[in-house]
Amino acid sequence: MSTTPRLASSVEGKGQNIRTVMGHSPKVREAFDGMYATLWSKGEAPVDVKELIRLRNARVTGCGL
Amino acid sequence: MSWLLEGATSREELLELHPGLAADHQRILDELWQSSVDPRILELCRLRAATLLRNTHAWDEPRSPAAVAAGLDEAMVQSLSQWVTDDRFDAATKTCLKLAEQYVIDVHGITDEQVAEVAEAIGSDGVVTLTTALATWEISHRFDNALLPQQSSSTNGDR
Repeated sequence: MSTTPRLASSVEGKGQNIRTVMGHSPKVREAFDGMYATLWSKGEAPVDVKELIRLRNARVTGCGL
Repeated sequence: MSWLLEGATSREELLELHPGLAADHQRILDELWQSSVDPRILELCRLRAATLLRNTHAWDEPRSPAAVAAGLDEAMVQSLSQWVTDDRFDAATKTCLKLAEQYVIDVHGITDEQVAEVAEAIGSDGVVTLTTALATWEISHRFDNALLPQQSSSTNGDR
């Protein structure tokens, strides 16, 4: 498992993070961000439950971010 | 039958229960298929991930129109499980399929060298597109497995 991003930042002067790395494919990133926003802002499930699910999923999949 | 919608047999029917999400999901798919990555590679990776996650629905639905338009070879599709030793799969395709398999089986096992190989083959934008596509396919496959009627493996063979 890498401890540093494996791709360079797509934004000059800005460090590597998920946003600047995904910026290499901006249209895909925008589409992904759109669905991510909908998952948080729409639907019947309470936001606190969604956050618990997100954290549990991160734990199960070993995502430390 | 599906637990959510009686008579539903497709992902699209279930996603329409949440139209906003369905639209966002479709937009991601549209961007992926129109991206710089060869749609034939994307389709082969999608189907390979489907096999590893045991989603037969993905094999039974129509192939990606973008991949077909780009010349997807159905004979290669049917030989997908032998991609490692099949010379019809070029180096770039094999590099991407290797990442796709590692992503599904053990994402933490992906190495710096492996990502560098993929970047060499399809560029940094391609790496972002491919990994986002793999995440999208994984969501689709698990969604199908969780919510669509299960099909008999005996009728679908070992794909």
